[in-house]
Amino acid sequence: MMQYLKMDIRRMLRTRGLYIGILVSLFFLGIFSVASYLVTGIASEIMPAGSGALPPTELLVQARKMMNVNYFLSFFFSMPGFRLLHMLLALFAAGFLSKEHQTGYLKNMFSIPRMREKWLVSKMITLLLASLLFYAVFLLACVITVMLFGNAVHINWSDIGPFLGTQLTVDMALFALIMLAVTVIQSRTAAVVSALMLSFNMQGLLYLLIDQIGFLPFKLRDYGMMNLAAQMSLPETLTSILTQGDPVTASQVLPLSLGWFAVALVFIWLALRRVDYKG
Amino acid sequence: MSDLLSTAKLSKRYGKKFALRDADIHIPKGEIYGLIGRNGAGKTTLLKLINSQITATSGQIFLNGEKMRFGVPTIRIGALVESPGLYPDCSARENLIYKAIALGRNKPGHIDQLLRTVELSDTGKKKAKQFSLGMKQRLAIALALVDDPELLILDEPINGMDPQGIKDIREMLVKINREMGATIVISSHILDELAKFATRYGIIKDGQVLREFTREQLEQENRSDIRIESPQIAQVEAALREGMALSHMQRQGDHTLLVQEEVERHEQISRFLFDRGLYVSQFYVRHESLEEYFMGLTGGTVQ
Repeated sequence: MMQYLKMDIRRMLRTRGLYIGILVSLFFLGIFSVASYLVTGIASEIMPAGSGALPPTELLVQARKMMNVNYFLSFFFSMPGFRLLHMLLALFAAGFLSKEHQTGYLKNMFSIPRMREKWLVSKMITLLLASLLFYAVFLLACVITVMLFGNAVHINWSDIGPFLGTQLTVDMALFALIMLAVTVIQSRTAAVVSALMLSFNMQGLLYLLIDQIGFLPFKLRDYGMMNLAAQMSLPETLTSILTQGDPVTASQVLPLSLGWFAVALVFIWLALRRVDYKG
Repeated sequence: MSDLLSTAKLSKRYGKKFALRDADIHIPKGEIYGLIGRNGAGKTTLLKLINSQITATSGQIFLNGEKMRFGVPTIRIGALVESPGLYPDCSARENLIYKAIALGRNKPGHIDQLLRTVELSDTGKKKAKQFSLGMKQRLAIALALVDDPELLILDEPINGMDPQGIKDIREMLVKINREMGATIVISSHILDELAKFATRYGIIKDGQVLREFTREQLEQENRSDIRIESPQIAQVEAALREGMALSHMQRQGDHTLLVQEEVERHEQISRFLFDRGLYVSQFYVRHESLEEYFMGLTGGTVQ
């Protein structure tokens, strides 16, 4: 098992898609930072009520002082931020998981005893490590951005820890669902399409339709994992200000993310035992 | 000699169609087993089942006499099934390193040795996507050899290769069998090439194993004859019937006689005709090729 994991970690570190994803996230962080620095519309959103009377220049100066690590970090998990970080990680996972099928390299591995179990566990651990690396780099970039804004850096781990931990479980659920698509359909196209659809919450449209029909006693969209994860926010952020109603907490998201993760794993396990490798 | 690999009523069905049905094969340790059959006969299906790429509908696979659980082989197996599976943007070395790490075989010198065995030592950083077909096949064989396999499965490894490439692969496989002791199962359309080094054969047709036989059995059963051409063919035939008590003979045209028995006594027959003063313009021994033998068994061609 450890040897299979070593192989996957080596491959992960040599996959261009991971670094491209990180660079893209940093690029958009840069754009958001510049916009936050210069755009009074954003400044007026995060300032307390009544600040609209301030001259634009003063408004921006005051708003910039409020832009902390939480502010930059949480934006790209939210809907205004297009759930960018989830999307980039999902796309990386799609490429990483499907490459062995697409190239046929997987054929060389079937003679390894219990290869299928090793493939499943190793891939999940590798993707978890990739996500941790991704978040670490992004968090560091947020810290640097705050420093460039001339603000003191203050990382409240009691807020950021649970927030990132919960988002990580959402990523793991996404990875498991993408892996299920790869296992059953065995194509890169299926992997990428499922990654895009899930991370952009296209299933939310289905939930909306079912809610409109109204045969369930509850609103399905209130239990949409991606929907709720995007509404989770850190204190003093654009997301927390823009979110109406009670804030979404980890205790609402975790059962969904862990549940989807577990369900997907079960189906992956069954598929690995039954589905023939098309090669 | 005990069987390293055997199957009992191994079957694979896709929908209503059987790609493989009740296949029984027996491959002793140390043999080079040639799997022969037309396209779609079931050769690749059989090899995929042994390699745990697909699940069997019914039947069993035995390794060293023990029933194999799906995905849990109890011997080291290396396989090249259908096209080579390579990372196109990686070099030969890098492709090998990945599998070696997964198997815990990334020891100093091991990758270099594999590259030398398949004659890819000079490829350096060249990416696999830039390799010729022959180089890709050799790299795929090297991947199959990473774990020093006891059983090497090769699915048409010489297809599409030039004569020199075929010769190189053949010599490499014989060397692997002899020096590494690997038992080899190889499928191929190129029967005459297979006949040069396989020690045992299995013939598959329409998903069923028709026959298995050793090279010695093939040589014994192989129809051989003596072809004699002479302007005095009637006298030749009469002389052979009376003087050498031969009866299994067949005339072809006005000047040709095929003697289908006592072929091993061809020297005596030749001397007999000479002593009788009979003029013979052509006298040679013909051995039925593996392809002709296959056609006789299956009633068709290999292609």
